[in-house]
Amino acid sequence: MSIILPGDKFPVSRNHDESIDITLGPGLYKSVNSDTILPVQAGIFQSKPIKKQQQLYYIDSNSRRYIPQTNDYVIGTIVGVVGGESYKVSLQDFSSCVLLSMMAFPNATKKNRPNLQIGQIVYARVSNAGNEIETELECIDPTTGKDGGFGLLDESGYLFSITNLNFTRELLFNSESPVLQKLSTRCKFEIAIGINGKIWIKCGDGLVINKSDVDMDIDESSTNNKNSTTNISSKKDILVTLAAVKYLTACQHKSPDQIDTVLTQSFINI
Amino acid sequence: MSRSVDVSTNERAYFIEGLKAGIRLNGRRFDEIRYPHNIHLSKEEYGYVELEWGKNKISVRVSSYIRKPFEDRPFEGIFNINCEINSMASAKFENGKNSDEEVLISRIIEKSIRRSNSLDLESLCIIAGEKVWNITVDLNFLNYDGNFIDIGCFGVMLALQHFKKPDISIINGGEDIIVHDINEREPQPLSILHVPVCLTYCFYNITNQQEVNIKGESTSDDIYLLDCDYKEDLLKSGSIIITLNKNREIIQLSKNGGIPIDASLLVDLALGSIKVVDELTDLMKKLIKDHEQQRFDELNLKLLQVGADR
Repeated sequence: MSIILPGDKFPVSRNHDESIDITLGPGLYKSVNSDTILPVQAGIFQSKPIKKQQQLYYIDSNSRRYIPQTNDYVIGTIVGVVGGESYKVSLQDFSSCVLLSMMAFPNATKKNRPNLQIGQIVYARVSNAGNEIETELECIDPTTGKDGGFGLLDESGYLFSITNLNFTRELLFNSESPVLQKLSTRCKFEIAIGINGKIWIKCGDGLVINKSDVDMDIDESSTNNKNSTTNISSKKDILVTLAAVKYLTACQHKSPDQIDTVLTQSFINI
Repeated sequence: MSRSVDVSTNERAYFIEGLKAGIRLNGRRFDEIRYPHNIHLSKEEYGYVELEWGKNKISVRVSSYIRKPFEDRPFEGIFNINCEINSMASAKFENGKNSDEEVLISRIIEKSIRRSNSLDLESLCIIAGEKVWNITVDLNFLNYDGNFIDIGCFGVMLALQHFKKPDISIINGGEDIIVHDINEREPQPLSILHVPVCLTYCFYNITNQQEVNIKGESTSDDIYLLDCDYKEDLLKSGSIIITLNKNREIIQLSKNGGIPIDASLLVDLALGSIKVVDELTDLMKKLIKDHEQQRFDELNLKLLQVGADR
């Protein structure tokens, strides 16, 4: 493990054992002309064997700005439609938008298109992130052709941003991370983590929007009673969700032994 | 690069349903402000203040020099406020280009402080028609999290109270002046007539029935929030900025479009603001007093007092 800076020499010499394949992760760039590998980010240089005779190299850094990489799992907000063929998706505020083709959904055909509205959010995979062409997402698992957990995230959950991208990677990839395990002792929740710093979370039933407002005139007294009860359970779920959001936001700057106090503080009124 | 922030329907739905249930997403009460914290009053120079307000951060510097007054106002000093917002605060502000929001922020701050005569300009006069003090306030916004007006106004007033200008002697029967070094003679604070405090309320029409308002019918289900953060600011359907001081005077009131509000609500808002105004004014007073005391103790100024046992 060593610290590496952009423009440094690639710390592994490749000539000796050419039988080993190299896979490059984030932060490393292979020059097209000279076939040399250059670090393009500052951070900790990591190397991991993934298979027999295959070695993974990447640079681990904690940035705030998200730069799309192929195979990243991200959460994006639909902000528009481009040419009737793709959705324009925003992955982070003040960044350029990326494209999500309408064909990149399970069972999508020219006739059978997904119906997403502006403002809705999707969980997607970055399918193509080159420098020269626009970044593309897809809501489909390429190995099975099914949805694989991707697609629209419904409106009962809350979306919030985490500034430390390192923390979202920790939540998503470290299955032993105590943060979510500790949270599960307090409430029942459903979570989607995008490593672009967006997290969608729903505690309990999340937000239940009353559709019964229209029926008010027909049977006022009974609907009123029903309304008030659903409102109470919904209010509690909103409060719990917001407490969980507060907890996760606070956790990004805390060490593992402080998590318990943060948890009690966040859930103090519930 | 896009300059706008896109709010998802999920955030919007949570926000609106939360308001209906009496919850703000940031956990504050509807009429609760984020109190300033990490306030740094400079010990090295007079009139330099840095403070945070939620995630907002500003720095204010007051400076002075001597110049000739304007021809038509020979007895008055000159007072300017420079408001500087660039993309360091947030990517939504573009460098070198004033958006409507930026113009509004600086105009309201100027209206509240400069045009309300909170600084006594006649006390800045040294020799009528010849020499007056020019006081300049440079307001720099370092980080944005909604509501720049309230925090800017607070910061400027705190810095003005912290500032001291060098002492002056007039010699040769009013022909010449001596500007005393601050180490030679204790510098003089500015004469501040009143302390304006800006409070911004944002309005939300949670039923989303615009037609009801156009007809001028009851808008009693409108909800107002004090001191919005940036997400609440994005979702607002109208806002009002009230500037008050501790003497229960309304200094300015500005409502730039948005949904119409009831006149009686305005009275309620003004009355409700008094508590917050008092708290903020007292906080400023306390900060300045503590800072003076600290300086007094550290520099051992007790020795310089007339009655001191030397």
